[in-house]
Amino acid sequence: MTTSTAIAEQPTVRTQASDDRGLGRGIVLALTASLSNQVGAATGALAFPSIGPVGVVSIRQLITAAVLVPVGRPRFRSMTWAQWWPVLCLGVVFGVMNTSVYVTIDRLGLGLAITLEFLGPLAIAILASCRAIDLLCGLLAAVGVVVLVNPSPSTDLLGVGIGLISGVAWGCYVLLNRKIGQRMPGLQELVLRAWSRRSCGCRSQSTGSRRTHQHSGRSASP
Amino acid sequence: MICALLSSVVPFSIDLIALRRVPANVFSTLQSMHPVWAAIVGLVMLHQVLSVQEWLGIALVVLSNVLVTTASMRRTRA
Repeated sequence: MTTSTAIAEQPTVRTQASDDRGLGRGIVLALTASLSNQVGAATGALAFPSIGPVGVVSIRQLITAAVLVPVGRPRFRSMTWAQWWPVLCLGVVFGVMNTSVYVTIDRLGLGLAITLEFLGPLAIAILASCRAIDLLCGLLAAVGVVVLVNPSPSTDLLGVGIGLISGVAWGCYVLLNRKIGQRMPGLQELVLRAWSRRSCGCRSQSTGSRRTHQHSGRSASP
Repeated sequence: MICALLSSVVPFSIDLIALRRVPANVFSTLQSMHPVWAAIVGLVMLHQVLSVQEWLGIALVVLSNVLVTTASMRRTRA
């Protein structure tokens, strides 16, 4: 599916200036990333029957940290407290976001779960603009959610609620990411995010993360 | 389970590269594809068939995001 998207984009891209070519590639990349994300989530969902959503999230975070830490090689020792606290917050937010969204996928299905989660960044976009027309868009989204959830006595309200929590977490994640982006360079931030998630949560799932957690406590104190 | 890589490492890294090439507001508009991909992938990989009304709800949320993000784009250009 990814390849076909890339091929479909090429003719329009080639007729434009080189700036636009970069833009076109960027667009294809962003679309590929979001597709990859959902394919990954669906793959994780396939493992729900054996290890459950929380198990999937824990293993996913461990793999992410294991891959990204050697790649980014964050310099923990040289980091200041002003750099540390948003990273630790992000780790917690990231954990809440992933756990709640996977639980929602388990209860409501992938499409509904991601749409509910998506309300977080959408709310930020709407609140950031403060224009009447954008508030109308917010109303449109609210109508969309009601249509989507179709409230009835049989509705899984707990599932919807957990889905909305994941939305709040994604919103916080976007805001925190901006803050960290201003304070730390490049991929390092990404790595730390995965790393601090591993050290903040799911200790019962792994023996290897205990050492990391102690390290986190030591480095995080000012 | 190693395929869980697809939902973390790959999209994060690609997103970072994409963000260098695409303005932030265009990127925000592209994020609208998350729910759409989710619905399609859920259908194809997990056989989660959505009702017409669920597709409509997703479409409204996505439309809302497209309108908000493109409106802010027009404003910064003006």
